[in-house]
Formats: sequence, structure tokens, C-alpha cells
Amino acid sequence: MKTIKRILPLLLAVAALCACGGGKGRQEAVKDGPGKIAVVISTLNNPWFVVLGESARDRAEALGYQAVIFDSQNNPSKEAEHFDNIIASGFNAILFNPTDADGSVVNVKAAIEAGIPVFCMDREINARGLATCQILSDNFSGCVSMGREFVRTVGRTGKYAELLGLVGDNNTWNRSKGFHSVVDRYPGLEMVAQQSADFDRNKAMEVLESILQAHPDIVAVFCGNDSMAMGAWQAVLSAGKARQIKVFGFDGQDDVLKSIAEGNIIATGMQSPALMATTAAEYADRFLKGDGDFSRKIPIAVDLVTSSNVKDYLK
Amino acid sequence: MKKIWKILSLIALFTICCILSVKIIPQEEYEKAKSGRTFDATEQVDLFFAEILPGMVENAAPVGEVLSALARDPRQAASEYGRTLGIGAPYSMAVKGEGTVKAADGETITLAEDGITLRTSMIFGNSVREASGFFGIDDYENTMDFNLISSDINSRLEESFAGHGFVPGQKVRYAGVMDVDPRKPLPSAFEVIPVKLETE
Repeated sequence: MKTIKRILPLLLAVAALCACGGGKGRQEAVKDGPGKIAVVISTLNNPWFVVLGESARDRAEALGYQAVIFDSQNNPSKEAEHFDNIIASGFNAILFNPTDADGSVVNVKAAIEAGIPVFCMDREINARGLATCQILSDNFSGCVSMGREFVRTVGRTGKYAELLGLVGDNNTWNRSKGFHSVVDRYPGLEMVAQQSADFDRNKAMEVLESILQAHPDIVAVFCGNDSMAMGAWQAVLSAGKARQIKVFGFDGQDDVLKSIAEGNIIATGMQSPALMATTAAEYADRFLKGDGDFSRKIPIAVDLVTSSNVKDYLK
Repeated sequence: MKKIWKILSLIALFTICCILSVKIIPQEEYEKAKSGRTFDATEQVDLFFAEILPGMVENAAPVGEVLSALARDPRQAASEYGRTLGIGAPYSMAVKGEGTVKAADGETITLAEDGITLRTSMIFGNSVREASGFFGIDDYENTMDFNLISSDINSRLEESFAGHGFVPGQKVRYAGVMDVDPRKPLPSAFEVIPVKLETE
């Protein structure tokens, strides 16, 4: 009896340790039933990402999985919490829209080490060969086309501003660099301001209002996404400069397509969040069924949409 | 004494549990993830020009053959003669031909034959990279690095054509790359980015 009392704390501690390392066992048990797929989205406060998340969830469910959407609220810490929860809860795969190309690497690594494949959607992480697959828009090429359209419509001289997205998102820099790879070749085109508005409509409106105070003679503004383009357009309208300033966006959101058709915003790059999301869900399904024969990175082409072809994209 | 032994063993086990519940990332790994890194495409593009491009020129399909195939069946022709990356991108095809300069404006050379325009300046996009089949997207840490390959190739091609004057009536021989999207109506004229351009 004394011996039992002596070693009981030790036995309890060992039992607790076994419980800590039992995640993998729980995950394998889940595989016997319908699989579970986690859809982790950077933010649901933006309609584009809502489409991304819901399309991924719907396709996963159509393929027979239970699917749950997690909102990271553009917060890497929140994202890390979601991953801890997902790993502990025995999900079979993660469809992932990262908050930060560098900061999210550790979360993907944790999931992969726990045996959960990760399929990045729309945004990539800066780690070769880590994510199971990354399905991304070809933002750079899309913005090369945008840059060419910018020069064609604005001309080869003039001052302009650029509104950037989230600085931790590779998409921000892919788009900006694609645009500048063209526009910077024309020395008469001068960028007088470049500021981040975090892909946010309201912030974009405020930022451009400030820019217009300092640079009332700009003739164009390139925005790294359509939410910012709509905010910029509002600022341009409020300033009474709708005829002076041309606004360019990127994403292909419905409200911008409508604006292009009405002759307001000049152009956007048509992304397909639904295609990215459904492709990610289908690749996850293939992988879970034993087929991993696909490229680790799949770019999806972005079409330039202007007044000449917007009718092909309006619903 | 027994009580002390019990307490010490509990403390030791508690400490072990705490350590196992914390993920420790090496400082080097963290710094690498956070540090600004730059990618230099020079070496790979040097290799491309030195060892891959000659074969690409040699194996380029005659432009007349490609245009005929496109007129018959664009999807089949694109698949047979071109390469594409991912979903929805055009097919990049290596072609060769010759023609007579009809017009030259410093950025493009319009040929009198086949509806071909050669672009010698303001070269953008991934056509040459993709047509080569040499560069794989999975070999790069991120898509920006992959795009820098295209930028470097394009700027070197532009440099090779800079200073060359082309005048109407001049005969040229070329090998280059053109993009075709078989999902869309075919254009009436095609733009070719030359990777080799000779005048007679």
C-alpha cells in the first residue's frame, strides 16, 4: 500500500503526458468517420474573402467532409490559436489563407508535423516545399497587364498615387512590382505617393483624401485591391475630381465591375476566389485519398477587365 | 524524507510537461523567416542563355506550321506546340520564321508576312520563361522570385536588340515566343518576342 501511494503521483503524471501526445491518435480515430476540413481565412471582414471561405467550405462539404470556417481577423496570433485548436481537434486537412507570408510559416509547419496537409489559397507562405499545395492568383502577371493598361489610358506623363495592401502579404508586393515593372519604364509618369491602406475600403478613402491634400494634381491612382479602389473612388468623387483622376483596382469584385460598366473605375484584374477555393478543396480530397501527384504551387491567371470586356464578367 | 522525495518527483514531472507543451524555434530559423532576403536570378538566367536557349531556337516550330495548326484546331495546336502554367494562362509557343520589315517604331517590328509583329522593347510577361520549359515554379521560395526570372530574361533580350535599327524592306530571320489563348477568339495578328533576330 505504501508503495502504491509512493508511485501513484508518478503514474498519474505519466498518464497526463500520454494524453498530451495523443493528438495524432485522435486524428486517426476521426478518419474512420466523415473527414473534417478546416477553412482558415485571414479575415471575413472583406466580401472577397467571404467568397473564398464559403466556396472552400461548400466544395469540401459537397465532397463529403465536415467543414468549419475559422476567421483569423487579420491577426497572426488569432491564426496561431486556430491552428492549435485545429491540430488538437483532429481535422484531416486545412484550406488556408495566411495572414502573413513569413509569420504563418510556423503554423503551417506545426500542422504538417502533426500529419495534417495544408493547402494555401490566394496567399502564399515564404517556405519552399512546406505547404502541401499553394493555389494562387498570378498577381504579378495580372498587374503587368494592369500597368500596360494604365499607360495606355493615362498616357506617358502625369502624377499618380499608389495604395498598397497589407505589407506582410506577398500579394501586395507581387501586384505592386508587376505594375511598376511596366509603369516605371516611363519616366514621365511620376509616383508622388505610395501608402498602405491595408486592403480596406474606409482606410483607402482616408488615405487618398490625405494624399489629395498634398497632391491635388494627380491624374490616377492604382489600388492593390478593389475594396481600396472603391474607397479611392469615393474620395475622388467627394473631392469633385472624377473627371481628373482615373482609378484602377484588382480583384474583380462585383461593385467594381459595375463601376467599370458605368464608366467610373477604369480597370480591375479578375481573380476567381471561388475557383481557387474549390481547387484547394478538390486537391485536399485527392491527397486524403492517396493521390499527391500535383505541383506544389498552382498559379491561376488573372484577366484584365476594362470597359471593353466587362460585359463578359458581369453577372 | 519520503515526502520530500515525492514533492521533488512531482516537480520534475510538472517541469517535463511544461517543456513538452512549449514549441521552441531555433533563433536562426526565426531570424531567417523575418529577415529581408533578396533573390538573385542572375546565375539561373546565365545558364538559360548559355545552355537552354540554343536548343530552344533549334527546336522552335516553323511559324507557318503553327499558324495553320491554330487555324484548324486552336486547342489541339496550343497543346501540341505550347506550354502553359497553372490554370487559365495562355500557351507559350516557340516559333521561327523569316520575313520582310514593313514598319519599325523602336518597340516593335511589323513584318509583311504571316501577320507577325516582333517586340524588341518594352518586353513584359512570362512567355519566354514558360516556353523554355526550363524553370519550374516549385523550385522557388515564392512567386516573386519566379517572376524575377522573367524580368531578367526580358531585360537581357531588350538589351540585345537595343541600338539595332530596323528599316522597311529589310529581311529578317527570327526565333521567338508567342502566346496564344485557345479559349478566346484567335487574334488576326500575333506578337512574337524574339530570342534570336538576324538581318540579312
